[in-house]
Amino acid sequence: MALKRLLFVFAALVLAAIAAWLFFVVVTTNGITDLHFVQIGLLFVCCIWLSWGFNTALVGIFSRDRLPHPERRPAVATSRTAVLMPVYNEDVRAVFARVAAMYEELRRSPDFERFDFYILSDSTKAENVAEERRVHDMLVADLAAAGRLYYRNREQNVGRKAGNIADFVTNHGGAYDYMLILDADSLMRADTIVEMVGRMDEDPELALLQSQPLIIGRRTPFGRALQFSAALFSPIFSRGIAALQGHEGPFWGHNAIIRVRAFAASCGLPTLSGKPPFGGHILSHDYVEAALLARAAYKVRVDPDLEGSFEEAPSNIIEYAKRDRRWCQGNLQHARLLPAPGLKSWSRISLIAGIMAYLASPIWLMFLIVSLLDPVLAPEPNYFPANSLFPVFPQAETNKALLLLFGIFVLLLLPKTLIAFGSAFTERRKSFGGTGLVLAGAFVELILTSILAPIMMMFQSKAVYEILVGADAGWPSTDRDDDHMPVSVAFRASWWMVLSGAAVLYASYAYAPDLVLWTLPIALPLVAAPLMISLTGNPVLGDGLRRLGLFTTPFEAHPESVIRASSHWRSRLATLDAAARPRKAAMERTEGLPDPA
Amino acid sequence: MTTLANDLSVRDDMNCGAIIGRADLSDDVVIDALKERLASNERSEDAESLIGAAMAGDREAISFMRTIKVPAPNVRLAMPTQPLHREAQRRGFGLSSLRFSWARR
Repeated sequence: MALKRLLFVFAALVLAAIAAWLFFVVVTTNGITDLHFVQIGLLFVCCIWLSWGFNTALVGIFSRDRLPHPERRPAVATSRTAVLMPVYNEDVRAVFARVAAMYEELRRSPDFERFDFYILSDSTKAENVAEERRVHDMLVADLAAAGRLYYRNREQNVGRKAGNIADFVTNHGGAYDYMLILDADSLMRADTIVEMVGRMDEDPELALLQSQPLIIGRRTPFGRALQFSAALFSPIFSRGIAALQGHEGPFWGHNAIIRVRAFAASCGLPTLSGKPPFGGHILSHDYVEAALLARAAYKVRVDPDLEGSFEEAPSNIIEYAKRDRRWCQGNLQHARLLPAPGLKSWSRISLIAGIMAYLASPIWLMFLIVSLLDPVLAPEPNYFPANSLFPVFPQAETNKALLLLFGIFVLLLLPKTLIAFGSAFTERRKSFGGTGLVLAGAFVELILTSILAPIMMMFQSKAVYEILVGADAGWPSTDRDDDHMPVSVAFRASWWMVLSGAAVLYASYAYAPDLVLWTLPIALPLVAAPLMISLTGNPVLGDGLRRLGLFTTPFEAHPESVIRASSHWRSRLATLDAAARPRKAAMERTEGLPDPA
Repeated sequence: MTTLANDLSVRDDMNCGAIIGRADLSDDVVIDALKERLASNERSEDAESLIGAAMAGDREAISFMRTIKVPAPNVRLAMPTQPLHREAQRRGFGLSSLRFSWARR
């Protein structure tokens, strides 16, 4: 494992160094300025990050899944598991529909008696809390789930989600061997849940087992592209992560099962000194908890072969950026934890990788700005250097420039291309609608992500800037509805990108006309950002793509029973609610009447 | 376990909570939960007699018992706060009698 990791890091550094050297040769053909060193440094850092992703994908492509060992499981399993659904001002009916779907499916399993369900509410809005209590009451009655389905609301949501889980562990955790942590939008197949418990039973040293959640239920073009990309590429990338991280694997905060006592003993999180964004409660607690479990000599693992693990995702770029802002703050906060005593080296590297996931955007942005400034500030070429009677013309390094461009494209595109072709011509294609639809989906996804890349870069750079100047993201709940995204709303969120894009176009036209064509792929999406955000967040357009079969995923083409049950329960809860309301209203009216006496 | 979907059997040594697989609950808690459910369903039956019927194996009473809301099992665990910062250490060099040192976090 150590050699594999060393090779991995070495390869990333070598690839980045080659890119930096090629760039150095190209830009310094006609002399070196201070700006060139800045440019080369920024490109080197960016390329390390690119190579990191490229290598992870390659490892994933060439690795095999770890095989489970059912023979090591106890003949009579007695472990008890709590299925935890933390909620925070969410769509109540949608949350309880998912719980009901999983509960109902698990009830058909012979292992059902070993599971309890908890809805751990941190909701702060009175109407949400009242609705949650009412729907819980209704569901316990409808599912006959007395003593199996619990609900509690914390009045003070200290420590946010990590505090919510800690509250469960300290009050109820002792009654369970494992806890399956979900998110409010999580959905898992019953046999996957049972299999995860089995894998925990196999290995007493395994403290955390992460599944690969795939995205479901999106309608907008943006949401469906995310969904398609996650279904096609994520399992392979996760296999790469699993192969590299081994027993110091990742925790993504949900759709993972945890050994409760190991967690209680190792994962009590301190409050960091100082104010947010860098002080206060640890926001991205999951990475830290994984690192703490590894520090306590437990195994933390991701098993990408575990299917039937789902989540939803933001359906438009603005909601995605809102979530990213929160995650960005949490990951940058990890910078303070890098020197924490006793952490495994790979845990520290994972924390750095998490930080780089957000720092990469402002670094790319700075690289682009410096690259635009370079020709503007460059001195006029000197055709008659000292001691030369004849003019010396600037040398072109076109071949090296093209080689560098080609190399960056390879790092960016090769993994996805290999996975797309690997899926298009194997059995996997059938679940995605066939060879043509896999390739078309991958191609359109590539175009879409390329167009949206400058917009995402700007959102992430803004997030990093805000955090560095001390602005706290707070804890906004994520809106997962596929509502229409009007251009006016998109414009309010992205007007500054329009100005930035226009400024880049004007500046390059005025000061470096040769660069105008090169700036178009970045400047045009920025100028058109409101339109792009609105169009990609349009559910009607998404429905059109679905009719064409574009971005078909296995779970959309042939939804699994738990997905179907979840949407069935959503309607059923509405019906139950409608039936319960007149009775409740009548009771309230009676209670409100003056005493006839 | 009477909480199993198709198991309506009742054991002789059961308490009220055991009917719903929660033998750890006191009878008072179960009776209160049952009263609450009876009230919300606008049923006027006596909670004790309904429990008695459930204990005697009455299917309808057992099914109704399974609709009550009871508190979650309360088995506490300690969760000690983990150190994530290095303690301030003195690092130095030189002879023990003449030492140059500085605080390092």
